[in-house]
Amino acid sequence: MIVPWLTLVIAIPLFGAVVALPLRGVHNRRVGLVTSGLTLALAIAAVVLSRFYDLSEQVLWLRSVGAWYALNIDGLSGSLLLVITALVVAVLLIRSGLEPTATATATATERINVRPEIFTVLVLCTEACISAALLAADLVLFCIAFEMALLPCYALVGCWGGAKRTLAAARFLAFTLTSGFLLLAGVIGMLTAASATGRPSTLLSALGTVAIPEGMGRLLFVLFFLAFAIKGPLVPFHSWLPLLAREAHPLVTTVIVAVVDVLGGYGMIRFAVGLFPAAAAWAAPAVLVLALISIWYAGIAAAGSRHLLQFGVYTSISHTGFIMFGIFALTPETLTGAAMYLSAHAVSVAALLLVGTVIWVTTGTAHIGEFAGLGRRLPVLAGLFLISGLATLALPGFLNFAAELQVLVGAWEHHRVLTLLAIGGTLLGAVYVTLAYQRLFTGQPSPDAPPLKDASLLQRGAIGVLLAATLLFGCAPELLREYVAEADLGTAAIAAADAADAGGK
Amino acid sequence: MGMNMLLLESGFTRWAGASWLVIALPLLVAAVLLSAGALSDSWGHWLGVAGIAVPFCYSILLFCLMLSAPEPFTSTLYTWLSLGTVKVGVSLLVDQLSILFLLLVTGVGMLVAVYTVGYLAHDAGRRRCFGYINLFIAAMLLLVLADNYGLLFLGWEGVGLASYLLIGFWQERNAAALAAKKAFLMNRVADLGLLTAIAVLFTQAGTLRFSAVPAALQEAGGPWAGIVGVALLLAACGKSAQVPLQSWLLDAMEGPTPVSALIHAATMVTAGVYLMLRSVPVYELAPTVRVVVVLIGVLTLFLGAWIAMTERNLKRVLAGSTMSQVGYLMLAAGLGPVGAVFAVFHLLTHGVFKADLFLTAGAITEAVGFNELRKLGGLLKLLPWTFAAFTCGYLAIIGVPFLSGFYSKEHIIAAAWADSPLLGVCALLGVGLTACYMTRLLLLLFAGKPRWQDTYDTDSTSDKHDTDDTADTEDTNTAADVEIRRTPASMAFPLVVLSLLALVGGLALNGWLQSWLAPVFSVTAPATNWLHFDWLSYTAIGVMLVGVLVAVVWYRKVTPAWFEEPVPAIASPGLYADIIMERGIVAPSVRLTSGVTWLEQRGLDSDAADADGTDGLWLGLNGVSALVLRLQNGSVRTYALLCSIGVVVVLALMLFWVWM
Repeated sequence: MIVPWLTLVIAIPLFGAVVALPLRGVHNRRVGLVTSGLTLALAIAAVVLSRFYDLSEQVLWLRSVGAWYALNIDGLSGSLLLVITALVVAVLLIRSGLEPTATATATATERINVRPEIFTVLVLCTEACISAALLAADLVLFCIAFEMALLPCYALVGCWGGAKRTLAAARFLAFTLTSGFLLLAGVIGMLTAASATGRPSTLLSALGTVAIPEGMGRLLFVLFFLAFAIKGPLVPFHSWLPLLAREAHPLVTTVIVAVVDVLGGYGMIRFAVGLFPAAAAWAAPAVLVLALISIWYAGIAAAGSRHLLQFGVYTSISHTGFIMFGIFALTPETLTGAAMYLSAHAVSVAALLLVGTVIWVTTGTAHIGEFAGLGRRLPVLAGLFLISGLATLALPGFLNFAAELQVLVGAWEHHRVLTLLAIGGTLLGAVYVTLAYQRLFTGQPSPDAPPLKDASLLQRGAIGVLLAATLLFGCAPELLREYVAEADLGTAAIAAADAADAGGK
Repeated sequence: MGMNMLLLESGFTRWAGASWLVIALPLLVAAVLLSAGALSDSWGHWLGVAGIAVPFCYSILLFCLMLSAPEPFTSTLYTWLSLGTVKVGVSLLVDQLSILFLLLVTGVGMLVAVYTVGYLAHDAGRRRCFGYINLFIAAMLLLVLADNYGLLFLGWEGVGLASYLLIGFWQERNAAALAAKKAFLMNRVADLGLLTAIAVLFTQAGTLRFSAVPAALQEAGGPWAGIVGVALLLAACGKSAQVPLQSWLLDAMEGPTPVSALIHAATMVTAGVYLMLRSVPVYELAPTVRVVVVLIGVLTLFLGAWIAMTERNLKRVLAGSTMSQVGYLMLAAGLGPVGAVFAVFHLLTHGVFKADLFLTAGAITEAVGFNELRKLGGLLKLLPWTFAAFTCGYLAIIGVPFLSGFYSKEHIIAAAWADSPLLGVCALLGVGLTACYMTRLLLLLFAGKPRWQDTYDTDSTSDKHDTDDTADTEDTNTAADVEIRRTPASMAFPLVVLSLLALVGGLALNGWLQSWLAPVFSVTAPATNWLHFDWLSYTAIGVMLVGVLVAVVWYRKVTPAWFEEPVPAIASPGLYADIIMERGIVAPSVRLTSGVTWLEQRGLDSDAADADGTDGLWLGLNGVSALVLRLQNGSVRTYALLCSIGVVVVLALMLFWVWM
């Protein structure tokens, strides 16, 4: 039985997108839900099967540069694949629940009624691109998927949202194009280096053995690093995201932050560190400082944020700091921790942003007031917000904590002062979550406030399942850790580079 | 006989192996109550009581089995997480120490739960409250059953969360919401200590298990035992409301009174002491840090007493008293193994009599509708039974001979004296202070005539700490016609049980506890003969009497006018703690936050059109794009030129790097 499972994971959403394109209304939504559900099921099947069989696929595609259509799945890409396919289902579920309440007036959250069928198509296309990027076992293929994801995302941002969505889309495009350009430059550099070996191949397995001179390696590393740092995003490269959060439709923000930005951390582990371990070690001190700045700066910005979705994305940037901190502490524990953090963070921030979406649509405003008293009016959403927030701040019991613990404990051995600063950064999570909760939900609602409709069963279910998953894995994180740690996280290469470094001296 | 023993022993291991159920059951109940919503409003509270009663019965059974076969038993369920070579297991340890905590937590927990059924009978959120209480019980049991610091941290944060939820139970009141946030944040600050300790233990000791850590730290040598000690102490200070992280406990009184009794008096605030007790061998390796533990204990002992002396709200007085008594526990825990045994002793008796006092306070609030001392008074005739219950707790806490507080405190004083006479004097002074502030409270509550009938402008004196404990705050200030409500049976029963325990608990535990805990701390602590006191005991009784006398002289006649007097600055209850925190930490953080927010918001709307220039990267990109646009002039020759220049540059760069 030869079934190209991994190709199917990519092809099914594309197929669904084509089917959904001419359909309208409820049929369109159903096709979207069925397709995303099927993709999730396929992803689960692929992950389970990959434990027993080799699912990798390889077809030579461009002989001259040695580019392959090569797919593979391991602990790192498998766990993230599960996360993003599940999140797409959640996003489409929430979206189908939003439909009846919206009217024709064009506020940011309701514009999605204009040509809503395209939304399904674009989200499915995005899903296919990101899955392809995660599964790609070939650098050129990854690069193509990475660039391709830009198109549906740009359309998503530009089509729906507030008055300044075109500005947001332009800025998103500028930053992401820059990121893509840097990646392309890096890939071309890598091709040049690989062609010097005589038998060029851009397979990751082959690239790992290519000997690259130190200076060249560092240059290429910087290109890859910048590309993924913008995608992440890390702090000085983040300014496209808060604007997008304010102007784009909240569901679009959710897709971009929780599904697309996963590639930032993933690329950092697999390519920036995986291909250039020595250069990564060389740059590590600077990157760790940058990560710390991200943790603190974005954390403080989240505490001061008065916009629901901006609050969500700032927490995301702050946690990207933790993820990068884990990656560039360059120990097996921290790399595993960072890989787990990627999954945990994507799920918890998606839950937070989805709760924010529902609140925004229900109340008609994303403003975070002061003692706004929403807890009385929306008790279930208040509870879901708090649980998502607790997951975000890495309360023990949630998967985020297990990941954070690995990062901090693993980093302690080599970077004591920096790790203490990062440990201090964990406090920020508590600050911004409790602050936001207090501002939004506590206090007495004004007596003339109209009654609001609390989260529907569908919305409760979609968000509840995400949170239950982080709780379940938080109580037994060893399950995930064993799976992720089986992947080649570059630790062997780092160790080899360390040894070479030590030998050189 | 031998056969019988064998049966008992295997019975113990079999039952102890099921100890995870006492965590799982309340957790499940909490999940049901919190997710079922209004569906469970009619029966949820009884399910909530059952969620604690079953673990209590289990604890008693386990305790009885253990009496005949006192062997510690560890059940490892699965590996929670592997950190390198260190495996953090979900392993539960049932030993002589944890079984006592199991009994205390579930016992007091069950009584408080029964009490809450009546106390919140008219509150729409009663079911939710029981959900939170069950969550708390589960987390607290995980905390005391964990056999390593990693798992303990899970329970540690769980009780912090439950405390946050319960303090903010009436979150419509701004004060409650702020108090909850403050408690959570101050505890998170403290948790940084535990996180650091775990990181250090992982790297330096290579284990997180209580039983293995001391030896591993000794082997590691260096300053590591001291660093771990300091980090753990920071964590304990937050959870147990010790100086300098004490101020959240006063504000925590915004929560429902039964919750204050359970969490903020009997169990959760002693979790920090529990951490110290489990870490006694670590502190043996770092004598200097041990001294710091003792000092913090003494400092809090006095500060708490000061707060209790000056507060003008019933619950906040009791909170100050809790701080002070936990200061005793901290002091004892810092004295080494012998002191640790007595810390457990006082922890148990304090848990009982302070719960009794808090529940009495709740009964008073329930009966009259408010709890400011300014308006209370003269309750002796109106609430004679409540008075009786309060008196039991009162006599126990001030240390009247033969009652529970006497034995437990006596031992701490003796141990402190043996360590250093100066410490002994401090501990003795604490006895006098305790007697003084408790007598003051007793007089203000029960002596004289009720003050609520006196008419005066209430608004001018209602300070911002108003802690009215009823949901309908507005009604309480029109106090001219206070109607005394009957205490329901569900509230009376726990009071009776706790009062009796407060009377006889010390006598029952004295002597037995010392030998029971001997294996845990590898030391046999001395027991006082219940009848023949030594000179130190007599001194303590004398100091206590002086304290009572001073309070009687001061507060014999209290008029409402007395409460009108402005509080002199030096007598402000928190001793500036809130002001220091506000000016020193909160205000600068707020400024920093608004600075960052300003920077970010400016960056948002800047585009090429209005280049006000904060977002450099975005502007840079715009500049580049303008440049690129200028180059696109449609001339093929220009493109070709640019293309070749580009290729040359790239090639040159690559050659340069390769060659280098």
